[in-house]
Amino acid sequence: MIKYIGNSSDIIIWDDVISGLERHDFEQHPGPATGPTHKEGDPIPRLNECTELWKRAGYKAVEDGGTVQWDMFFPGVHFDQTVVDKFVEYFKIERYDSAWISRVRPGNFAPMHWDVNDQEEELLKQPDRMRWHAHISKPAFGHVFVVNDICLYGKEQGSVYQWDDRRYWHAGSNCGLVPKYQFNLW
Amino acid sequence: MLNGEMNLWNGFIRKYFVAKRIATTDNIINWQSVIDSIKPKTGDFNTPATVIERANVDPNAETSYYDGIMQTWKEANYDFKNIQWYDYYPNEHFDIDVQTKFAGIVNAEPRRVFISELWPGHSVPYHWDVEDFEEQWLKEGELVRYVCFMRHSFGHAFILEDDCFYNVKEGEIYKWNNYKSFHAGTNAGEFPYYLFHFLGIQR
Repeated sequence: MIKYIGNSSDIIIWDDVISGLERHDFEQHPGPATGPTHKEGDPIPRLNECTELWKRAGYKAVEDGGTVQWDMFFPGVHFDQTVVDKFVEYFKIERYDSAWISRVRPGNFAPMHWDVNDQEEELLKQPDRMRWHAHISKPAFGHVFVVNDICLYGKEQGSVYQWDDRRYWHAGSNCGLVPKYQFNLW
Repeated sequence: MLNGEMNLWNGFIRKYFVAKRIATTDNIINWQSVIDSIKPKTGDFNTPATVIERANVDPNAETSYYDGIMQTWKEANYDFKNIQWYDYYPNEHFDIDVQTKFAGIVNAEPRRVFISELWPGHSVPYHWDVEDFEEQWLKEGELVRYVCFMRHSFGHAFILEDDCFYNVKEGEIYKWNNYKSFHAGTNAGEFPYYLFHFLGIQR
């Protein structure tokens, strides 16, 4: 189940966070990390569920002439850790392992997948791990985020959703004209 | 409330000013058999380059479509070779009886009818459709546009102005409030995405 739990714009000025991230494209180092970070054959349990689907469907990475690519920005590296601290405090999240901001540029995709982690063998023993995400860009044409059987579109900036299971299948696509940013935490 | 917000496929709460759910093709058109009939065929392949070529315009000319739409794609850094989709036409690629039955449901004379096919990992970005015979058709009556959802699957999204159609039940027909509305389609799923489009003159 995916549940709307509130708006984070009262505690975080997301436009300022995004402006800071954009400086990493040009003047500040390091630049963002680029996904996907895993590839077919990596020795991670259940990674093949995603890689085989992508292969069957004909997806190709941007560097191979396709459209699969997204950027990732991390707290303490690309944006301030206080953003995460405020978020978890406000939404009373007691435990999290990972937080990042993803960006999908116009024309690019994070196709249907679930986030298979390097520590997946250990994480699979914890089936109750939840996830949260926030729509941090202002609503813009073409910014599509799909999770489970719903599409979250045109959501107010700062809207936060809680997932009962971090392993839900999801996807992001941008068929609009400006980059799409999203805050993620699990 | 998430449930209230996200039941977008429920026509009841659809933003009526963008498009309105008007009917279903249930028990009249079998979309799975239409999809099966076009699968072995190759539709008309479209990219920005073929659109310009077919429109018979100089890509460097000051045309409104090139300037208005493709320029926005260019400015957004789209890779033009990945903007690609297929169109299938009645009589040429699928049985014209489908068009006839649909025209009967929506009570309109068909003018341009096609099925679009969008493969995983592709989008047809923000655009409106330009019609060569628009002026002529407008003299005949009110131009109306309908979209029908042929099959729903994970990652298939159709955007019309500020509304996103997702998980819409097969056979549902929506009438656009304005046949020239901005729209887009994207496929982040596993299977090809099919939509039936009907532009016609209301009877």
